[in-house]
Amino acid sequence: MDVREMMFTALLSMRTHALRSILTMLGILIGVASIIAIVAVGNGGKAAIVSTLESSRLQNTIEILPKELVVPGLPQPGQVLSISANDLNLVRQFHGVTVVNPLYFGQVEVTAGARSANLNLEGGPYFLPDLARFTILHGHMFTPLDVLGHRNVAVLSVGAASQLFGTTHVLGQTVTVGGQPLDIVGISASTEPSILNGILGGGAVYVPNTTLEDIFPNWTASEMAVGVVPGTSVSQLARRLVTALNIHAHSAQAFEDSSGFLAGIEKLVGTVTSILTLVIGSIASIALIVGGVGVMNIMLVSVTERTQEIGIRMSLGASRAAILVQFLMESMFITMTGGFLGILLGAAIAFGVHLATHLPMQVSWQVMVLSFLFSAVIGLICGIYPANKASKQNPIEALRYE
Amino acid sequence: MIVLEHVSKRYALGGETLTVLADISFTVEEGEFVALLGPSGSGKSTLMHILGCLDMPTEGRYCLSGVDVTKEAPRRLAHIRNQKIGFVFQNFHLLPRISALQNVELPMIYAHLSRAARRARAEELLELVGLSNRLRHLPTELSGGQKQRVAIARALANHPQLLLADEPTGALDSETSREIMELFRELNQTGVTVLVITHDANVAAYAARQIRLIDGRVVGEEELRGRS
Ligand SMILES: Nc1ncnc2c1ncn2[C@@H]1O[C@H](COP(=O)(O)OP(=O)(O)OP(=O)(O)O)[C@@H](O)[C@H]1O
Ligand SMILES: [Mg+2]
Repeated sequence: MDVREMMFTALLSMRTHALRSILTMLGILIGVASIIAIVAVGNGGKAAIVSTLESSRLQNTIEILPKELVVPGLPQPGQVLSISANDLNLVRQFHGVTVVNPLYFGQVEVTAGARSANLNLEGGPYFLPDLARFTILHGHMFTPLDVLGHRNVAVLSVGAASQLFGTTHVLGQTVTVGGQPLDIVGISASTEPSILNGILGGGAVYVPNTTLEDIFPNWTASEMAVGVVPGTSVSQLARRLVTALNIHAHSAQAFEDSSGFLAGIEKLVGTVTSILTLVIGSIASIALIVGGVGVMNIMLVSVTERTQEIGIRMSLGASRAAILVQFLMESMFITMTGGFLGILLGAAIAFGVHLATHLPMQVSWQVMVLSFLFSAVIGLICGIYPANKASKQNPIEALRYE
Repeated sequence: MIVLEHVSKRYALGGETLTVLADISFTVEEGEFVALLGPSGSGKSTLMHILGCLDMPTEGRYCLSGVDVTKEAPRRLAHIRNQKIGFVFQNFHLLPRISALQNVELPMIYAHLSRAARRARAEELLELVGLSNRLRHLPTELSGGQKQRVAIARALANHPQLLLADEPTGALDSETSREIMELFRELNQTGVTVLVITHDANVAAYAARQIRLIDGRVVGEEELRGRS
């Protein structure tokens, strides 16, 4: 019996019991659809986070920071927590380095008139918006001259302004940090992608790093932004700088440049999405198993219902193998159709999620092929017992079966 | 062609054994036309199933074309049924969900014939039994006599050497019966061995020899006329 003929027979028996077949393949369909949708949304989210992190890298700038600062926990041996003046000077001596700007982060009490709030204070160069990812809504960013001149100016985030003043129209007013009044020259808004905004957002006050050094002389820098002569290989220089700093700190684990830092975050994001995918994936496989059992059940019913057909086919010369293959094909036909429709539904769900939430999605063809093959395998496994039962019928008893 | 030696068929029914066929021995030569007669329940269909390699005797030997089929593997038996034997069952046994044409194609599917060859042969056979205008009809859309003719066409699909027909004219009027029996006679004249089970004396008259069965025993063989 050739394959085409069997496909025809399988299709015919599926069409004869259309509703039953659809209900049977529902389990497989839902299982496959949820796997496809979850992987699509998970991969898409991961790719989006990674690409926004990648795009945050500045041209001709190397960010160097103490290693593993993002992952909270006990400091490991050889780990440094901040950047010293010596480190900054060391980097300044390198060929290809134009300027080294320390970046400071800390939490301080900021007052404005009668009100005060605990806010993030960040000190850095005039291109801090690029490093810390914000834009200026009102006013302007502090200028290179402000930095050089140790001027007492500040940029407030929208959050900080509303906490301190209840409004964002505060240009020209002053805030006091560590006893030093600062003129507000600009209001900023975060440009972090929406996913990260909630985690990293909040009230922040940005000041020139020179000003911050004046107010808090004993703060240590937690990061440095190294300007590079255009045309220099950034990644090579970054490696050399990190190596030199590590030797200086007598530890191979002291510093990393932001590409390493990004890699760390990417790994973390990857781990989180993998765990999520695994958890929801195993729930989906339960649907697949239940679906498989349903297919097996329906195939057993079908074999019993068609006992006479089996007898007739045998009397006309069908071998046991031909009967076995026929019923295997049928069960695989059901699960593969379910798998195929599941892939379509899963992709549609992922697209729907994308439209509704603007989360990116990435339907992976490997997962599609894999789930299609998997649904074929389920059909095979769940079809073996009923098909074997069909092929072992005694022809004459099957013929007489009413 | 057919050699039966002391063939018995018994069923165990709740402690009792029911003997359906008892010690049957006879021979049918190649090219014979034989009628098998007997009252209802005498074991005619059971005997035909054994002759068609669908059922196995409880005792005795059955040789078909020199092959002892009681010793053959199921796979070989399937092949023999497909290639050598054409069945016309008492209750047709057509597959209900496929057309007359597809029913006739079935034995050729298991003989691995190409699609086109199958289609051509099935059309030819249905024309032979006078159903060329009913090719696409489902069995449920056919009359009893038409179903019977589809069953006959199907039995002839793979050019069988042995045609076994269980009451092939049971559902037909006398005119159609005559046509069918003429068809069987023509086939027999081309060398096909034909064995027909019947109640009808007119039908039995086509056969060169009659075998009578009562309560599972052969009670008489009768030569009607010289073998052709
Ligand atoms: N599987 C079985 N188990 C028990 N008894 C059976 C079985 N199959 C057939 N028989 C019995 O064998 C006997 C002969 O049956 P068979 O069908 O061969 O009769 P028949 O001569 O073809 O009758 P009819 O002319 O009515 O078709 C019957 O009494 C039937 O009850
Ligand atoms: Mg009978």
